[in-house]
Amino acid sequence: MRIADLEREESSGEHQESTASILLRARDGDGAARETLAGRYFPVLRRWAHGRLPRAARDLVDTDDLVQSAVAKALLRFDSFEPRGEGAFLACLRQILLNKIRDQARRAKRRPQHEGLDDDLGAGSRSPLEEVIGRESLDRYESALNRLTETQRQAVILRLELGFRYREIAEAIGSPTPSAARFLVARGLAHLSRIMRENDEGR
Amino acid sequence: MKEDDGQEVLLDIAATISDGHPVDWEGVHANHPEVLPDIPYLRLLEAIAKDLRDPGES
Repeated sequence: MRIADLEREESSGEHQESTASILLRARDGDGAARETLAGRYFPVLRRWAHGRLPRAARDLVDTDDLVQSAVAKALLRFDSFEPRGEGAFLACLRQILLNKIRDQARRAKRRPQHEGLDDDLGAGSRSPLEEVIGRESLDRYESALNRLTETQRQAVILRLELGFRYREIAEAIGSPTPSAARFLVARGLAHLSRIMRENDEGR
Repeated sequence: MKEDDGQEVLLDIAATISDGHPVDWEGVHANHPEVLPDIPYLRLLEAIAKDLRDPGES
């Protein structure tokens, strides 16, 4: 990315109220702030969940319902949530959603009509993302992700998975500039690749 | 230092992936043998990033 692009990102602060401020109000129990948060995160989480929900599980649950219930659960935890910022909140939200998707995948697999979904012909048991990169690779990635530092993990999730701009990442994780956030993401990705390699070599 | 060179190349590739630009994998193969063992893992990250940008019809 060129410096000019980063500067454009930096100056294009078209955000209405900052998410940090909304988070604070939501934590204080402001219902409108919670609704604003849910609305802000819903599209990106819906897209994320869509790529990870196995096709077979879609008969059981609607992606939108899954995301809505994950957001609701995260907001319920809000009172006990430590004030570590938007990045931490989104990482937590992602984990809740991932757990819900895994539950649904297990339920779909247990259904009698879907027996045998795990064989090569059972494409319905895999999510769109698993179809692209393979289930083992996705597990490898998830496992390595958990070994990053908290800030690196948040930066990678926000950029790679949720498609945040560097300016938004900087704001979410308290990084001084978009350039610094970009460097943090790159460091995180380089670290991730090395962890996955070490894990494979250590097998 | 060979190992440091590898880290720097790794960082460059990681930044390219993060920016959403295409990585010149042939060039990496030809010019940076020190990171060859890392390539499958970097390509995995590239695929995850690409999937986000161009989600398949599903």
